[in-house]
Amino acid sequence: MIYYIGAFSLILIGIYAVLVKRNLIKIVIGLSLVDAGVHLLLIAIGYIKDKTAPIFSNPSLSAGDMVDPVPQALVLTAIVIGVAVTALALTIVIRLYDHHKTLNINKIRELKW
Amino acid sequence: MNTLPYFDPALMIALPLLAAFLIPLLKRASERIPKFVPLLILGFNLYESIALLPHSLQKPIVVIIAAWQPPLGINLTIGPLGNILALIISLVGFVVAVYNIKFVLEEPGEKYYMLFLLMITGATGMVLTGDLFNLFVFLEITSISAYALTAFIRDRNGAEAAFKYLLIGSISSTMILLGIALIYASTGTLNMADIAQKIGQVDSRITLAALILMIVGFGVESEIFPLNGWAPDAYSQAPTPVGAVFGGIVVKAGVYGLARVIYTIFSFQGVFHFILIMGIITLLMAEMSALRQKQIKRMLAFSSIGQMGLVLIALGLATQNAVAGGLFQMFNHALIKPLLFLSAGYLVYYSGSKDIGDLDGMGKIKPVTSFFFAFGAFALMGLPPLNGFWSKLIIISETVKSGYIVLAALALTGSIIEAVYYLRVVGRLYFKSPEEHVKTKYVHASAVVAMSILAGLALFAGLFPDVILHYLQPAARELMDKTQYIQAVIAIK
Amino acid sequence: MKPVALVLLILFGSSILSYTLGKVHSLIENTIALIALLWAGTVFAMQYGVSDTFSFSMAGFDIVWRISILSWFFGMMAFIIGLGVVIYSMAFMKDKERIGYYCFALCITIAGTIGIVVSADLISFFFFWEIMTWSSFLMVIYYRYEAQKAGIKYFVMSLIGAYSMLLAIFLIYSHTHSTRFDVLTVMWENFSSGLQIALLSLFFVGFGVKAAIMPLHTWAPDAYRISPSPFTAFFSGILSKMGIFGLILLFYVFSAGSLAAHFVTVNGVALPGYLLAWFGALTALIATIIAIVQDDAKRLLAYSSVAQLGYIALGIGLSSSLGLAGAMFHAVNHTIFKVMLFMAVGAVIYRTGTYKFSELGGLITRMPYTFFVVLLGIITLAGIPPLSGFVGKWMLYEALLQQKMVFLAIVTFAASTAAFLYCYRLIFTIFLGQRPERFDHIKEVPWSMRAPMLLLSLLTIYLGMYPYHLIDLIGKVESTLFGIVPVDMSQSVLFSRMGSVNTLTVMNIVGVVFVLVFVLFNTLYKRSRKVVLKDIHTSGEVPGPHINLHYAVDFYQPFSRGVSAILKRSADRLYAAIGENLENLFDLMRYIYTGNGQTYAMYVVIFLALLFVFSQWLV
Repeated sequence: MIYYIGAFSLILIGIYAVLVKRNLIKIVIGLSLVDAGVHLLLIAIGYIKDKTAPIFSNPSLSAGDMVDPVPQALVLTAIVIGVAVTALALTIVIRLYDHHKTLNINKIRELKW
Repeated sequence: MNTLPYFDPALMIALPLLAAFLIPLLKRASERIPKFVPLLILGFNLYESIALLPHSLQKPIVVIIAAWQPPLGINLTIGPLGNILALIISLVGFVVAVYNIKFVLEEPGEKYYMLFLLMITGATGMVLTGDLFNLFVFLEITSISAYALTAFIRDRNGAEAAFKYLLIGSISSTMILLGIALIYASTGTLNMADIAQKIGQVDSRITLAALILMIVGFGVESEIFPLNGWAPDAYSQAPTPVGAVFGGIVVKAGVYGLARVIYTIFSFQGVFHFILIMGIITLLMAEMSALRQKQIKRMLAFSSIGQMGLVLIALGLATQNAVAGGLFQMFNHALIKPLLFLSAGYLVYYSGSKDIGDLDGMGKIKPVTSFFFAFGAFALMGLPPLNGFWSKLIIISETVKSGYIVLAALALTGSIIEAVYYLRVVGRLYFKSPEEHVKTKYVHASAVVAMSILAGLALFAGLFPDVILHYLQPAARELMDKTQYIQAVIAIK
Repeated sequence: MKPVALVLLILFGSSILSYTLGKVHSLIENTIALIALLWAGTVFAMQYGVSDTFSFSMAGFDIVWRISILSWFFGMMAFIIGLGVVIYSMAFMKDKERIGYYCFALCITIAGTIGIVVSADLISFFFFWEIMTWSSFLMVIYYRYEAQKAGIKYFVMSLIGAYSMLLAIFLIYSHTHSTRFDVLTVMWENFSSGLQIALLSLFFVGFGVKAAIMPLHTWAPDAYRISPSPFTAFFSGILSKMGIFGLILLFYVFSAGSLAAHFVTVNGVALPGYLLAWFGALTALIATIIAIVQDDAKRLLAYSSVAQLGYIALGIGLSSSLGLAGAMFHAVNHTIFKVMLFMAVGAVIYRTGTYKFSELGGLITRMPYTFFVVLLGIITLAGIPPLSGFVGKWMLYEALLQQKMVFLAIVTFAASTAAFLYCYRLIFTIFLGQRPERFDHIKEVPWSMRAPMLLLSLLTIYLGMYPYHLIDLIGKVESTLFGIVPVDMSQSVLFSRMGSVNTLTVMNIVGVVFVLVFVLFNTLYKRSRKVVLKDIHTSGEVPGPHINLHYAVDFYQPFSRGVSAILKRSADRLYAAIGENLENLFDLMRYIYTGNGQTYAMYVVIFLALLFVFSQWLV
């Protein structure tokens, strides 16, 4: 249960950061937080109490002793995607800073209408 | 009917992906090669999707990857719908690749071609895959390359547009992921057919939450109002061919995701009304905004949103004819919007300004490009004998038939607004006297070829709508009747 | 191949051929159009009474084409006028730019028109209607720089009309599951009254825009004014008739006379028809008044056209055999004389380059043929015997009196009388009076322009002599298609309850008198001295520049002062104001698309939250 609470609070904090913070970097951090929250949630879904990692590290382990492997695979993929997005976001932020000399999202509003 | 030999459908995704990463290497061999790689690859995709079509019309082709049987392994499920969309995507991609050959780019070209191919890979993957998580991954591939392409011209506005797109895009993809998590938690599977089968046994509150998350997530990609704030900026700031691809491909993939979710995976009835209402709101809001735009590409972007609104109306009606009409509308839009974008790109390039006001008299200076723009505008307005006429006709017909007369009237009002702003632009092209300072450069042959293909197809589809509808009806049936889809996948077991 | 399909194929093919081959040599364009029209016209004409049907399915809709006798009636009008216009254009458009474009649009327009008349189902009707709309739009914007506003106004209003028609079509489709006319005819009486009202009003907007019925006429004066003169003739003569054709379809084919059973009747006319009659009569009156004060020949004719279409609508609305016959007769008349007049005015423009009355005058000696055509044209227009205009109006008045519609009759009489004023203005200010010096050496127009005008003049004389031939045809249309008993008549005598007119006698008398006077004039006055019209004297005073000597300026000044109160309220300005306000309203969207990425993200989250709150709706 604590994992679910943790995951959702991470998501909410992230969304809060995205919506309220004016600093571009903080917004990107917020996005990462949301991502992390979702990942945690996915892992929590696959977690079964007292089971071990889904790796046949020990010949005595049977499939019944492991947690669900699928969410872990998903999360690995999702983490990679998240990293890519964050990296791209940061490059764009750098580009924005070069052009606008500010990180305040309210001041970067040339494209409207 | 003779059928063409076809290859493993997985190549439609694998080849572009491979080629995309090979491009930087090929660049070392010769500067010119990267230009032609997308052409070649997309030509293959086009051939492949045509060759597959007769087979997928019979029954969905299920391709198993890495010998894992569904529902455990990842598989491609190529039904009529996916196949047709893949065809559209390859077609638009191919035409844009032709256009790309000579399009002027200040930047190192190979990255551009790489991202372009990646975007197409993602979109093709989205429509072909049978796995929900895979759908998400391909969506991310499409989006990430789209973000990068939006910022491709390294100016201040490009970066701004890209950031907005990225911000909203990643929120939406997070929601999709969350929705997937919920679905997996309750059904224990990620295969779409399998989910569709099991979803009935799950607590409807959880599925409802998952549905909402996914509607919002895919709604961002399919430009539902008010989730479409990114679209005008991204369309207008990206390089012209990319804008064309956004309108022709990315949105289509988003709508495909939405349709899959509401038709195949879930079985809520009220959602159709919701989509219907969102469709008309999207349509009207977009047309109203488009009327007041001063930049031609922003106007085209809003118009694109408006067209998607019409598609959403069709999807929301949820009758087979309406869905077929909606698919027809998507097909038409995929032909016409790139045509408009490509020609507008040249017009902007010649006049050196993105403002509509600076396009005065281009019809006299640039007759070919202006003609294609006017042609596209007429086709989009739905004037016979061009293709837009039939799709609009079918959608409006089905709307009235389902009893939503007021809705049909509103949609037609939107069409009238659309006619006004398109005519204003066409009017500026032809009615005003040209200004002096316009560059006199000829349109590149590649661009003319690209635009002619699109215009020719638009005319063909307008004259022989039945040829197109013949393929769209099974696709609509696939959406309407999910048992066939489920059985095709489950039967493999 | 079925003749119907062949006709359409020839026409559409010719438009493309004339455009592409026209690039090779400029002479080809007109020739191809001419040959195609002749060929298609012959094929079409031979289908008289055959009622041959061609049907197939397209995009899930039944498409039926049929040359019924009504189609034949309107189709032949289009072919004849189309031929005339093409011949006329040969000289008129010579050495003008973009002839290929012109021929392309003209051929497509004619093809669209024929398509409309042969359609026997609503979908192909709409299809061709839209084709006609955009191709005529291409024509309106031919003079591109000046034409923008008029063109867009025309197109948008046409589109509004077309879309309201589309709604009606699909309303019908959703009730009958068919778009065929014959099915509709059978099913109409089962429709509820509410549905009938909706259909009638939607169709009224659709057809009324094309037929320029007030208050849907505002596009007409501008579009007529700006389109190339030969096309203006076709516009007024044929395209506006498509609206009339639609109204006839609506009242006599779709609803098939079952309106009376559903609605209140006024003097024996079902309410929708009665209202249409009033719309028509008021259109006739108001448009006539506006026409009188115009200083622009083409605008004058445009308003006159609107007024005449009002008469025709009136006749259709009366829903009696005589009323419909009168309407159709007048439709033919209107086509003939309006084409004559527009061609004649076009000829004047061709030579002088202006259509302002205040800049013209005294052209009678320079362009005698054109003068003659205009003279015959306005005689027909005003409905004076012995020309055919008289017969049509006579039938309309009689139909009115027959049904004891006194007020309508008064309005119509008033409009008809007022029409003399603008007729007079038209002929007087252009051809009589003093001639500006710069026009002293202009010549009559070439024969290819003269010929169509003169042939049409002959036609109106012929129809004035033998109205029976046309009435007989109309009677056939009425009896075969609508089951209405045709009007009673014989070779040249028009019977009615109020007496009879022998048109042949009238024509003979007038002809004899005309020839007599003409001969007398030429023999007796041979020796008279010719004075130059400028020899007017101003009582010894030298006129200063401030004194306006040209009488055509403020021609009907007292009159226009009198009606200025009416003219102040213009539907056109009202629409423009509505459009502008709406556009400003749309600016509110600016507050939604603020340009702040964070706001957009906020929308996404709020949208999500709202969906969760109202999630029960999705189930």
